Amino acid sequence: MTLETEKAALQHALDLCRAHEAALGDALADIDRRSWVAAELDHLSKADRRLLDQFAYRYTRLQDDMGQRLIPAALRALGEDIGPMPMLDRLNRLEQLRWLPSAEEWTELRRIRNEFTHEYPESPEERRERLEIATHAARRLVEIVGIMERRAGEHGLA
Amino acid sequence: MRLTRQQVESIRRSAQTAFGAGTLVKLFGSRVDDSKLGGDIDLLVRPTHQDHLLRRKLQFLALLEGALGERKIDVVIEQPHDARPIVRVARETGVSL
Repeated sequence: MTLETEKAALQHALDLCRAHEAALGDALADIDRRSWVAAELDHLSKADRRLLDQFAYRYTRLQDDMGQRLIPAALRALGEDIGPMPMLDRLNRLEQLRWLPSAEEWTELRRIRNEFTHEYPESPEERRERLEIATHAARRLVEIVGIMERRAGEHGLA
Repeated sequence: MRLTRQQVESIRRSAQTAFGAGTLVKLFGSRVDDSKLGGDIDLLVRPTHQDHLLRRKLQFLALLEGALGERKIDVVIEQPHDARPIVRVARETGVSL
């Protein structure tokens, strides 16, 4: 691929992530507007359920698109040969290049993301804690997209 | 049970670290069945510490990922008077590690 193609792929990935980021930001603002009590999480209103669904959907999409699109696109645009590179190596490489604050943190954010698709129903207390951890994780994810965007700008890639 | 002795030891050790000494772990689901192949690792945990259970669970998963590599592990945390069907099934059919 030429550099132009790689740049275009990176820009496309950034655009996708920005769209998730905007919707996630809206959901986070609405979530922050009220307090969430464990017992209530068992009997959500239709509006609250939609809000939490929107949040979970955008958080997982943002994390997935970052992992599957943005991270590989960034490495390719930087001229890295990532074909045979396992995910952990990709993350470590991006950390080295200072595009990612911490590879370890990223895998932690991914584990949190996986909690959204957990197949067993949790207890209300587990759900409340999950919401708290997830909103914190979502904010970190948004910050990381910001860092990657800045790096892309500095390298003339976006 | 389709786990090696080393894997069982890693799971037990990780559970004690994340949920406290005396934590009980049971393997349930398809890994209990010797006639099957592959599959997720389903674990039922009865934790000693009852606070910040999700944080502890995330720590447990991180420790397991370090010890067993990246694989699909489902953890159900049993709470006092837990009446969820999944917990009942896991308690009845699971094997203590």
